[in-house]
Amino acid sequence: MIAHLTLSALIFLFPLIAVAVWKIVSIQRTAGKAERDAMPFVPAPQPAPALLRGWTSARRVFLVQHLKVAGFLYAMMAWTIAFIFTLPLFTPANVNSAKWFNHSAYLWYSFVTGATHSTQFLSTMVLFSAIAVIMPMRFGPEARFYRTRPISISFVFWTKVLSVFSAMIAGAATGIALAFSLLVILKGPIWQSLPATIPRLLGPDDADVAQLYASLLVTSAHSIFLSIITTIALFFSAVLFLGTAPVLRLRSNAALPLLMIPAAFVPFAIAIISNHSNGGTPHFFRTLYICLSLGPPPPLAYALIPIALSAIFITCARLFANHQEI
Amino acid sequence: MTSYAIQTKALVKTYGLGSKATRAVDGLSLNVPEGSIYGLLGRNSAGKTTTIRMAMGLARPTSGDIRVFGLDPRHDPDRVTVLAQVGYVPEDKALLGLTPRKLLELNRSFYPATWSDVLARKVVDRLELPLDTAFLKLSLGNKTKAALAVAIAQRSRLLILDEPTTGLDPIALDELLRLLVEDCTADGRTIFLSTHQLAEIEQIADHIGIMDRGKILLEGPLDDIRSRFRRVTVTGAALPTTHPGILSIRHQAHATQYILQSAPEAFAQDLIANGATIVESNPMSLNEIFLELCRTSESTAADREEEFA
Repeated sequence: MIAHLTLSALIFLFPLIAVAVWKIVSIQRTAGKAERDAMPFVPAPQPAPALLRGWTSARRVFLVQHLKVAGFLYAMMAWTIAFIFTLPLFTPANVNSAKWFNHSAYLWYSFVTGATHSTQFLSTMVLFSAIAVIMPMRFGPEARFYRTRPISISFVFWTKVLSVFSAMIAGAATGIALAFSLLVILKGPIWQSLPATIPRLLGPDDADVAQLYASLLVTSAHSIFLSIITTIALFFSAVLFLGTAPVLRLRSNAALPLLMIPAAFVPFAIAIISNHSNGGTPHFFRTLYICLSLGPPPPLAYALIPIALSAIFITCARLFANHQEI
Repeated sequence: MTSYAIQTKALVKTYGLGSKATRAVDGLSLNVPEGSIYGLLGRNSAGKTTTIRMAMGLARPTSGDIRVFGLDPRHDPDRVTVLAQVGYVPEDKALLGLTPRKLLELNRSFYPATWSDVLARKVVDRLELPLDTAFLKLSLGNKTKAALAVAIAQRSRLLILDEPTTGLDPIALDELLRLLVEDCTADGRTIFLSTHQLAEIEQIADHIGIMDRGKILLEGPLDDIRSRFRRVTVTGAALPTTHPGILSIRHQAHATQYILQSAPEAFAQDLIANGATIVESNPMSLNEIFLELCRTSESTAADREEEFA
């Protein structure tokens, strides 16, 4: 089991580490060559991308910089989600799988459970991404540099927030689509061939499997996928709201713990609640359309609640940004 | 009519709340004429950087008003218009972690209308700035040079330099002063700099403001200030202790020393008319004026605190 987890971690981390190492080596090589050559300052002309020709040069530069970061975040999010979802497809069945009466049912159960558990991991990633958006707007050299260039606060705010926010949402959607496609390609539409009832051969020791299977049958994969998207939006916007709120007078890195505490606490709390929610997702989380376990989905209308809250949080953060001091 | 690059009226900036509140800037009224080289002088914590941060829209005044070219740097779109015309070197010279070349290239794209590659190369050459050294390997002096190159090459209408000489060796400092005079004051452009380097600033500034405890103690053209201030050593009986021109009085063994801040000739005539003998009358350097003003301000503040207690 430990060997499988180590292998999984390696499969997950290898591309990320490989890209990071390649990037560092290429940057160092370029920097070393430039230092040796000691060329004079003769900047190359910067043609404007066709789509952005109507914008000022300052806006173009700022936007292009952030689109690059957003592209990286998008790829990382898509990779992470696809990895979490499809992990059961590539790892040998664990000891509990022997209890399952049907391999397709076990695979579908693992796939959907992976989706519900991804909320814990994603919350961490989303919260840190939100902090990474807030920090350079509130303090440090980056905040000061861009706040003293001729670009409006509104443009800085929306570029930073929307690039990261949309990259995460699009990355999550892509990851889900990728994982689902892989499932269909490798195993076929297994959710269509699940027995409608629990076979009689399950004995009294298999009550937990029976209960899980009953929950699985009433679980809506679509709702869980939608929940992942709305939860990302909710967590991101909530941290954005908190981090830009004028009550937090962030003037230096010393104030970072004020943001790190929720970032560490929320996923931890979700993990605990998730582990103790065998009877289904607690009502409060259902209201926010957060699915932490198998079971009947919350009413679809509840999805509007995190969407509305996210919009309110982001709007407030935008208003707070006008009054920030750096 | 004089137009001003920066103008403040009763500007106040308070940090903290309740009993922990500190007035970093306390009723500051400053007038920086367009086309001048204005040196804002002051001790540590005098409020210079806070004033500059408010001019750049990085901090919001608690009360009072601040205008840059008549515009409010707090609110867009005025803020953007102001920033398009201002080059800025911050106090800590921390610069995004880029090499000087990348920083120049980045900043160039923010000011396509005014940026000069030729001037950028000139500043790089004259200050001997290494263009491709990683930010972490740059010395403090080289970080300062990079920040200066970036701001100067913008060819902005107003150049705001917060402690622009930090870490510079005497040769680089001399080159900087030349560059500022030769290349940054053409076409009525303004330089506003805060510094502790009084001797150097005296060489290039034509206007001076001296700040202490958030207040402006003295402001005006440097030549006017020099002609107004005088150290006069006097002997005689019944010497005056109050006069609008007296900044401070020091009693020595056999004489009295007056530091005068205005109308020294008129005061000298009064003294002679009252039978006093002027032993010595000397003009004062900017450094001496600065020290006298700060000492007087300190003792006045201490007296006030005692009264309050």
